[in-house]
Amino acid sequence: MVESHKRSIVKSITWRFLATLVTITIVYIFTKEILLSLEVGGLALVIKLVVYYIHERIWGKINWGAKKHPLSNLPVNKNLQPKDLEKVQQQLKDLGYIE
Amino acid sequence: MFFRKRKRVLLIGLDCASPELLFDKYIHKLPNLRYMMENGTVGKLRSSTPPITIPAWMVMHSGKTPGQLGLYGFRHRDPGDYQNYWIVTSDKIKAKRVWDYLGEKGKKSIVVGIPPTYPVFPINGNLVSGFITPDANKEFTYPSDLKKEIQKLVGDYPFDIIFRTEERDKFLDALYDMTDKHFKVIEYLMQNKKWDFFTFIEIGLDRLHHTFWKYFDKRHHLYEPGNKYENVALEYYQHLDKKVGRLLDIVPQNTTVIAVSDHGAKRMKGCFCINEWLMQEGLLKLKNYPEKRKRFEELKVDWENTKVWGWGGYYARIFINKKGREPQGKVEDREYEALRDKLIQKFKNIKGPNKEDWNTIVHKPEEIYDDPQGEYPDLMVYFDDLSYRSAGSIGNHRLFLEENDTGPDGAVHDWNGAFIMYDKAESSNPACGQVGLEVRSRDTMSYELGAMSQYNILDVAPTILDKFNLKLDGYYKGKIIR
Ligand SMILES: [Zn+2]
Repeated sequence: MVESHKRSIVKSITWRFLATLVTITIVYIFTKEILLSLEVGGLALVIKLVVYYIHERIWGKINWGAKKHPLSNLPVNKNLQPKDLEKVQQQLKDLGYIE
Repeated sequence: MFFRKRKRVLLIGLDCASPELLFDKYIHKLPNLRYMMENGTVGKLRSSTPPITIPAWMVMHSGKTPGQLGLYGFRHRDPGDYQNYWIVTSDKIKAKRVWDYLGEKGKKSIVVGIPPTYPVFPINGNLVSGFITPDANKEFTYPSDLKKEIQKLVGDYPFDIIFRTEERDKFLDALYDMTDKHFKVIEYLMQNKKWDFFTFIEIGLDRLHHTFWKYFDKRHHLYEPGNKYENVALEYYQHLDKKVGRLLDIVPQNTTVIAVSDHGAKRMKGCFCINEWLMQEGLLKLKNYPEKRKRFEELKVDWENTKVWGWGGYYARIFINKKGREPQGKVEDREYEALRDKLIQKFKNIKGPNKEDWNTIVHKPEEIYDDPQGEYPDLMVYFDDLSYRSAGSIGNHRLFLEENDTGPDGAVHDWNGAFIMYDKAESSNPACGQVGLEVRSRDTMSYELGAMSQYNILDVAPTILDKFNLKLDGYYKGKIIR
């Protein structure tokens, strides 16, 4: 299933909200301090945002497990080797296209 | 309708097919092409300026002018270098071609032999490079595995034949061998690979014209009546016509079939030695005149005393030794325009070897192209409207040559190619290609060249894209042929 942008955005917001709530609840169970729990929850939200971004960028550089684009096995417009260029040049001379 | 067959376009490129031969002299003996003409759209096709294989096929497939593409022939000067030049290979083409537009929309193309497509590059579909390929050991297909399929099918795949040869019989064997292999591959791809757009060129006709024109054109200065090659051109046109008929049979219904040439051909009257002439005019000076004929690049030019030099080919590219642009430039900016105008007058006044008047055409590139790109010359000269080739060599001791200075040759290019477009409709008889078509007598034919429609090579790309409801990007001049 290919998602619409709207759906992805709404999903990521609801998930962040839920996950932050879980963090706050866990800290509260251990410390019974409501203010501290809210502070940790808020900080975790920001730090995880940054760490997730870095994590994504690193994975972006790893090809393992990714599906290949059908045209990716040949570089676009490979350069002509000097030897081949010479050959082409000679052919064009034989054909009279160049002198 | 829900189950409409998908729309396809097949482009049959017959390099150098001449409207005079195709539409007039031989038409009564070409039943399949005639069938397309009688049931489709037909006309002369004005080639690119200059009318040369490169840039013509790229102009046709991109809808852009040579000026926009920056392509004025097979080679171009390295800027600011008297000797070195670069060759047009596929990596020099920046413009989008029809298959690029279609690929973006998920449509598949098969491209065979279109110059230049070497080095090969990825397209959405299959590609086989053309006659500017070093040799068959190289990677000449995309995807690269396609090469094995082709070699399994036909063995050694020939890209071209060397045609400026005196061994005419050997040439003919090679020509038919090459053509049959090309069409075998084309039919195979057509039937075994997915495609929406199929385009190919057969270069054989161009090679045949150059080698045999003097044997069948009674007006050629080297024509000999009753020679054994009188009919080779007609026979090869008939051979191609049969191949076209076969393709008409096997293409699916709802395919638009376009048979087209990139330029025409006519008899070569000779060569004009441009650099010898410039020497006579005092515009070009050598350190010493060679004993034997030499290519211009091999000569020691006295650049200090040279204002103008020229390149050979179907037309002459004229370069002015301009100060600030050339390494040893002589001509000041303020002299430049006056010198060009003086040269134009002189070129137009040149008379033929028997003092006959010529119809020489001279262009300033900026005047015929809007905003030309790349390494264009200062002037482009068509001696006697293309009838005389330009020869760049020196050491000929004369201005006119009967033969080409680069090998035996009987034909030059002409401005008009041929265009035929035929829709194989959903309802049409699938066997329309060959059945019931006989060779008719000449007098039933009604094609009058002068009265035929005139199309332009720039029209072809928009016409193909229109079949898929697509348009060219950016500025273009071509019109859709309907
Ligand atoms: Zn051509």
